Amino acid sequence: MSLRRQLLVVSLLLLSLPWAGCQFVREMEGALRHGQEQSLQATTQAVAAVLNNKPQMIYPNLDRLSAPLDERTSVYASARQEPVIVDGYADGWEEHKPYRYDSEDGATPLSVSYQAVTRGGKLYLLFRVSDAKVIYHNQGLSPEPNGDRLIIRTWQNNRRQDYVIATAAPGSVRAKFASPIDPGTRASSIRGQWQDSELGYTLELEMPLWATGDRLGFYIINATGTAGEKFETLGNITPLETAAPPWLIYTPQDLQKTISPFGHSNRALEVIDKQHWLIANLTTGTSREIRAPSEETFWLVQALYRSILAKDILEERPTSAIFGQSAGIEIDRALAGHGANQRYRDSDYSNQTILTATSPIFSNGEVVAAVLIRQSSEEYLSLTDQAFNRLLGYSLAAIGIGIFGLLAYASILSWRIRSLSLAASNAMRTDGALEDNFPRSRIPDELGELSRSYADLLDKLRQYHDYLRTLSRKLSHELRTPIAVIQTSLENFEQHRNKSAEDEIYLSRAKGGLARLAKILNSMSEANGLEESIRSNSKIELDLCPLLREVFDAYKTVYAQHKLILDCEAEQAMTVAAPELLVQALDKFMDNAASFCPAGGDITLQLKAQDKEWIIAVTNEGPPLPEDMQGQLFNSMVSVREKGADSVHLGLGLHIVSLIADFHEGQVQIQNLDDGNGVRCSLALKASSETPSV
Amino acid sequence: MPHHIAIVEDEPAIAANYRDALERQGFRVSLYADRASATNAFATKLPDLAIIDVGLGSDVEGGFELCRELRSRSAELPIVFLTARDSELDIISGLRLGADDYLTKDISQVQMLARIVALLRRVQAFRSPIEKDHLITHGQLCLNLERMTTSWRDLSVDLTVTEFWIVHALARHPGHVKNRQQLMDCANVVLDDNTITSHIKRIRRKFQTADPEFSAVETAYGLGYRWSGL
Repeated sequence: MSLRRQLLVVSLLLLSLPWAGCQFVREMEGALRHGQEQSLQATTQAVAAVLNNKPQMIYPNLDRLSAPLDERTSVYASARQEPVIVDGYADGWEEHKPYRYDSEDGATPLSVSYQAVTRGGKLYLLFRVSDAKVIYHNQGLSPEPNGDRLIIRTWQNNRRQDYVIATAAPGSVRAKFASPIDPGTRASSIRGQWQDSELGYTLELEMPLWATGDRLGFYIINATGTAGEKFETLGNITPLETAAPPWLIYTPQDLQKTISPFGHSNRALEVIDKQHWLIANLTTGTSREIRAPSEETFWLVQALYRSILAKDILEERPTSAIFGQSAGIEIDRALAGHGANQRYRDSDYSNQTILTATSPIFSNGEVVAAVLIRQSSEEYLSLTDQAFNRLLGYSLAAIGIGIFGLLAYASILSWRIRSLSLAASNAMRTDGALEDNFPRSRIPDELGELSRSYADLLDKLRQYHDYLRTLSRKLSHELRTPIAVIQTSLENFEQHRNKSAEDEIYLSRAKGGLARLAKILNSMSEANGLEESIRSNSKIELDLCPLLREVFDAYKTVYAQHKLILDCEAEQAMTVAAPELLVQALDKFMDNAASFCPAGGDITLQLKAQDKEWIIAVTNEGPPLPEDMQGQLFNSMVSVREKGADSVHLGLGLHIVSLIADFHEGQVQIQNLDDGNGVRCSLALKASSETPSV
Repeated sequence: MPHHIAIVEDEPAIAANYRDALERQGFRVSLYADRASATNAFATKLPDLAIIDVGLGSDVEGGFELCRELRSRSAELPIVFLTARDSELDIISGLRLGADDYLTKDISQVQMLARIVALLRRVQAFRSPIEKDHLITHGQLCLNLERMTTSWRDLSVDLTVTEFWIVHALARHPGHVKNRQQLMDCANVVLDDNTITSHIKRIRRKFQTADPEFSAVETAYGLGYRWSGL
């Protein structure tokens, strides 16, 4: 694995940055949530403080505060801003599950459902009655209402006040007193519209709130049409009750006004009374708007960090079975006297949460109601959105810069190391000499230090190498003088007249040894002068064919005890070369071949074309080369000849050939024949521009 | 009167051996160990022949200096370098200073004596009129065996003794190939093959300065050299 790749792997550690970022975003979300909880709590406390000790604002009738829990269902009228058109049709009424009473005996399917709203001191009621057979009031039967009719019971001056609404035909209706008239009330203030519907009839009524006395009971009477038969009643009260009707739950206008300054565009403020009735609700804008995710950030980023944050499994907000009532632990706690916070999962956006905060409202040390504020987590998440966006950008930039920087640095480092290793591998030329142009780095770091120490090492090595190279020259130079002393002395000694036979023997031995010594010296100086003498030759354009034929003729006489074969099919083989050197190389090849080839063996001199090159090869029969020596044979002082050979041999022959090949920019090869029964030496020379003609 | 030979050599043993050998041949020999003593002696009287070592003790190029001095005083005095230094550069610079031959110390006494005799005879020949029978002419080549002078197309070619002998050996039988050993024998030297090659190269160059068209010395690949018949 290259350094750069290693660093790429290491730089993957930078991916911990986004992880840390996620952790940070979570922490931040937690902190923001906590802050929001605090602020919501503070707001609820502020609202509660306004309402503390003002129970009359919450309870229009303070008796409700102390009244025991009523088994009967109270009529809950929510406050409404839009005007209500009383037309007897359900259009314009909010769609929510209406209160519904069903007939207990299933013989005749009868049911009534109702809805109530308040607006501007008026109470509006909508009754939808399902009745298979609608019987209208028949004036002819009796002046008293005798058809299907509705009884409304209010409480005024601690007395019941019943009104009856009946009609002879669908259309406008007015209430009539159905009980002793209480002074100050007018039945005509209760009016409305009666319309037939698919299932039965619909009755929409309008009455002033003050007329209810904060209590409202009702029941419908389903006439059977036949006199004497027991009629059915259905409602939150029964005809024979003498107690006060159940409380009418509505939003007092004062309360609404008091809390309206606390309204905020994206949170809901609610006041809940002791019976969990939602008696005030301040929700500006639609609920959709409150919880709509902010559009400022890219949806993918949003989805990404929402998924990072969505770790808690939250419950959905509980809903009460009865419309108008609120449920929840936080409300229970507030009504018990403690402020509380609660988080719920948003039922519309599963990855969002809703925060609620509640505070109790006290009156004379008693909890009378609770304030609840609800807000979507989007509110503060939009802040984290932006933060996350930036964080994502920053960490991507940081990762990018980090990776790019590291890679660039690693590239520079690996480039430096590579160039250093390249320089180191180039420092030694193919012939073993050392180049003196090793680039010495000036950068003051470890790599520069390495480069410098490498350069120093190479300098020392080169000095040593030079010393070794000149050693043989110096040695031959130094040895030549003492040899000359011995030689001249011996020659003088030879001239002496009175020498014994013994003297002659020793003299000849000494001269023999001296001659060998001189020959070694000559070989050494020959090796020294080789390169410069080769370089002093000039290359000319020449034809190899006649040259080969000429030398082949010469070799035939020289190597008479071997069978020489010339294999030259080409007519003309032009190349640029120094003929003397080529012949010298061939001489070495032939000399080599002849010395390894047994007497009578074949030696083939071959010329052939191959890829714009001329291959001159000398193949001889004989023992193969040792495998491990093949690459080294062209170095000087390497010889595979057996020791004890008569002639002095320094292994220069093939070294000269390789020098000559270098001079001609050709290649020299020596290899065993495939059958292992001979050796082939070849020299490849570039053919001159003309294409070789075979 | 015997010829006077001066040997300038810092190695006393070699100097003494050469003196003994030369005195045996009837020469009068003077030995000088350094340049100063040689210069002093030569100031009064020049020898008939000078054998000079290149490196004289600490004076590494002293021989060359001495050669230059001698040559400036006499154009005819035979000067032979006898040295252990055998690099191409030393040989060329020695010969360029006007030495008549450049020998390495492993030369045998016989070969050295042959040169000395030849050189002394050449001096003699210069003093006597040119005799026809000493002239060998082959085409454009003219060799004077006594004076050891060479001319090509009537232009003088200045050869050393060794070179002269090589040319002579080749030109005596034009067309005949002389191998390296034969050439060495004729030139009274023991040299390696490369040195013969460089001698041939020098000879060609010297002729080519006189005549750029010169190509009489031919290489017989694998065998040796020959003088072309033309």
